[in-house]
Amino acid sequence: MIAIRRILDWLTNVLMVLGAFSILLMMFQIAVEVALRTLFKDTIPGTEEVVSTYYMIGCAFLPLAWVQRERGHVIVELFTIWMHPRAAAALDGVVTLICAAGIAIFFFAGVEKAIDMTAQGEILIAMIDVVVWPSRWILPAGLGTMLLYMLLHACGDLVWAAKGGERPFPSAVGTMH
Amino acid sequence: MSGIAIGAIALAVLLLLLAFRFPVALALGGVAVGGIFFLRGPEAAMGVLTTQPYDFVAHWTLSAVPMFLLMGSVAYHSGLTQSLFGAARLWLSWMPGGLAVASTAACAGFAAASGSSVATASAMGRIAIPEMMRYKYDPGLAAGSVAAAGTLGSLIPPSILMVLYAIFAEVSVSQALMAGILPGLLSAVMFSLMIVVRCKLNPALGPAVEDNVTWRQRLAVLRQVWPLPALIAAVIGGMYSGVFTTTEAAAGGALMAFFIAAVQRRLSFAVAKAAIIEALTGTAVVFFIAIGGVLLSRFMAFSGLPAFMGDVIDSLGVNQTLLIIVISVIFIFLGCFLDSIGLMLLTIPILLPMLEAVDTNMIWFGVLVIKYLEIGLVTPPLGMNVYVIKSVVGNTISLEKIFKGISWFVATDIVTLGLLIAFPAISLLLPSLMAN
Repeated sequence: MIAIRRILDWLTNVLMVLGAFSILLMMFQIAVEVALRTLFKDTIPGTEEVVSTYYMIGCAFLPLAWVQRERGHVIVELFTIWMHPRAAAALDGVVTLICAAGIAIFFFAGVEKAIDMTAQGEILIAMIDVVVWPSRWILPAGLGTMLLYMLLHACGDLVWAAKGGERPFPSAVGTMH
Repeated sequence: MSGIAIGAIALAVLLLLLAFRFPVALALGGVAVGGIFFLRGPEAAMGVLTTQPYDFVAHWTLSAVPMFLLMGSVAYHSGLTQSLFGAARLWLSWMPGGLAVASTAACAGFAAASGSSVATASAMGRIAIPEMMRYKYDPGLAAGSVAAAGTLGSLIPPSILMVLYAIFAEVSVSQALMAGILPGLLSAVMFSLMIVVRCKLNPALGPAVEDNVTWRQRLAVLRQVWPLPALIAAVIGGMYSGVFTTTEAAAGGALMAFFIAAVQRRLSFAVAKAAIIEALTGTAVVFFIAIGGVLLSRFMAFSGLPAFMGDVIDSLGVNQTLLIIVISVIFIFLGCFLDSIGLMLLTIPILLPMLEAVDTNMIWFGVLVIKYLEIGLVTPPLGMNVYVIKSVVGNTISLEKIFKGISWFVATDIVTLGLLIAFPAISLLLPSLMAN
């Protein structure tokens, strides 16, 4: 369990670093594009396509495993606030397993699409041709790692609910913006 | 079974899943895909799941969301927002209840910069509430002013909720953001007015602060805090003039926030790391829920339920005012139980055809939706901002006192909401003046 967790932590951190590159490159490329347009009436060809297909997909899907690790997905706690922590953990374990099944379907749908698009060599035709098929793999990468964390959390929750002792993972907490 | 019946059952199942601690994103998405499976079969369900999430996120206009989140998290983690309360205090403490008015103003500024109501309540609660308690302010007023004013960031641009609303309602993002400015400022003024009048009538609520503040001090503090309002003004001005698109203004704002933090020697590796992690996790959480919302919209359209509801409204001859009032009640009720983004994305697909049936301006309605969501953040039993304030103040102020203090702000918000409903021009003036 500890070894699996270490590997997952490492993978999650790598995805987060790639996510950080996505958000920073997005900021710089858009700013440079605006500066070029305003000052020199020039442009970086393919900016809109690269921002949309690589940086946006990176920002949205690469941090999903990190969010799952911190159990940061928004839940509504109101109706279960009265439950004993171990009973809530049992419920969370079952809910997380059901959700993991859903995410597994989503993951395989993403892999299927990525294989299709890779085989076709998907490109977007703009001022220049932008090769976008590699970005199709970002979605399954984020979802797959998140799925593994969900399975780990579900096991941890169910074991803790049954046996007690020290809790292996933080509980799911309702958060809102 | 008809599509309309499947749609209605699915909504009931959705509420049940939320009550059983299913993540909002997965409840929305799961019910939607399951519903499409029943309506159109497995191939349609897989088809939607394969194409919609990627296509929705790979969207140029939506890139304003991570950029605004990054701008806010850099401003927050580098401490650019820290001196806001001190500045507001020097300028406003002479008024009756001046510290509460100052915390309202500082919260409005902080919330506009950070884009997060909860972060605002948490950060400003730590600074402003102890100061008000030191001057023997009524605890309910002290906690209420921060909890309520923390919600203003959802209206005052840049607002993530407004960007998402605009995308879902298919209206201009820049115009929707502009539409929030006057209602946001009106809300802040109404809160301040209520505080001043209450403290004038009952000075014990907010005793006078005997600061002998000079104009030299007031002007000096402006030199410390000016970059933040200037940053927000530049972002809003860029969008308003039409020089920049929302995405460009947001990216420029994020870069400027880094630049200001660096010039003021507030930017370290740790600050940048914390800011980037917060912006990325915020983006992932928001988009994951939004993907659930997109799938639900698609399912609702397949089920025919929204169109049916629209037809019912049309055939009953319900007028716009009555419909808006009914929707207000529903939103304020559901806002007590559901989180902001989830509630918005759950309701918009159903409401849009009904509102279109009575010729509603969707930008104006967007302002009302955001106002409902703001009220939901401070109403019991799930007023998130209230719980954040409670965690900040610990045992010094009881939850009951905070909710009691908040009730004045909720009442004021309902008056503001009435004004926004009665006078759509408050919301629509700026968008109508915008350069195309």
